[in-house]
Amino acid sequence: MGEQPDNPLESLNSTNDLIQRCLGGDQVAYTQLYERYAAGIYRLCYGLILNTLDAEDVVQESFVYAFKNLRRFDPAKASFKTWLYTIAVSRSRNTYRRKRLPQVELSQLFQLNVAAPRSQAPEARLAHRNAEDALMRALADLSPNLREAVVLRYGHGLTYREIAEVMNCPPKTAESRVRLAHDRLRKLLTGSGRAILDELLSI
Amino acid sequence: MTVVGAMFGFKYQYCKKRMVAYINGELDDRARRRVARYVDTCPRCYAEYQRQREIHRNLAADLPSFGRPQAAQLDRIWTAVKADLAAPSARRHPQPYLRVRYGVLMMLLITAMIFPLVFGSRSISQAAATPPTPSESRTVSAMLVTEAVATTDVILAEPTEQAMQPIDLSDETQAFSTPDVAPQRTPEATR
Repeated sequence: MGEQPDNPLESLNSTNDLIQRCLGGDQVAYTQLYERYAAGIYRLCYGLILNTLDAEDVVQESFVYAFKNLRRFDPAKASFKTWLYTIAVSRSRNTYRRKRLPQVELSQLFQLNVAAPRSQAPEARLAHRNAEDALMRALADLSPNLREAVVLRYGHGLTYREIAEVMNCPPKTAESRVRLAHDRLRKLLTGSGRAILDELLSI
Repeated sequence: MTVVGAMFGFKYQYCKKRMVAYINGELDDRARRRVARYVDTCPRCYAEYQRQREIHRNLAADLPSFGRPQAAQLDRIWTAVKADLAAPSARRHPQPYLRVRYGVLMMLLITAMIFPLVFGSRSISQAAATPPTPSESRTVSAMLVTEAVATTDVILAEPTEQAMQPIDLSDETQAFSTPDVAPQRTPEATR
């Protein structure tokens, strides 16, 4: 299941086409729409919630809501991606408001979920995992608003205007949130992350 | 602080505030050119640019792959989504129920508003319809008889000037009013 195509115009046209087919009752179109956006929505939710199970639940809720309310989507107001991201961010907020305490997953505890490619050497895999852990700790240390801004900007490449749409705030606020998150992450990652990143580069 | 130092301080503050947007390509042309000029001429601005660019590069490299899902995960979620969509919506039922509930609530409200009006007026009429004392009733019946006789006389007779005069009811009203008698004070009370 891949993410959306690289060409934005082509993506927009085909997405609108898929939506029309979905509204016409085409079940295959629903599957294609899900396949196009599921990975991105999952990464977004995981980046915000930092928990696999909760992220899966939020992705499921977001798609169910989006598909049930597909008639409400107005292409003149926002792109489908922005609309979907808005739904996912809203549901993620509900989740991390409910669960303020940090939770450690069992898979993480037993180190079962190593995301590094299998082709990498063990040292590289370890370094990659350490870098990811450092990034996760740094993201967890950010406030929810700053985390949303930085994940949307760097994880998904949204512009400040799109971030403002998704976060429901003025573009200047989105800009300042990205800047504050940037500064905060720089401080957080300078200590632990620097050595890890150097290690990564040396490998 | 010298003038040159103040100038560099101003440039640095200007750059620091806009550096992330500059690196992200989000500044307008004028601000972008200005930041670029400061980065070229001010050492502190250049150092700031290098620091921000490094973290930008790291974030841009790491975050897109952060939390990338496995295919099995997405398949599992899709199965759950399909099951949710196929299941009958639980939110369809409460709507008629809510309508009935609001209807009942409105009925109760209307009843609560009407209740004091209905029972309040009955109590006033009951208070007004208290039976008169025997002496009063005698006076009233005698007056009614005389008034009826007078009215018949007036109807039968030719309308005179006196008959056209408004009837003075002061005496009759006095018959209904209680005698205005001041309470007598007993010598004990005055003392």
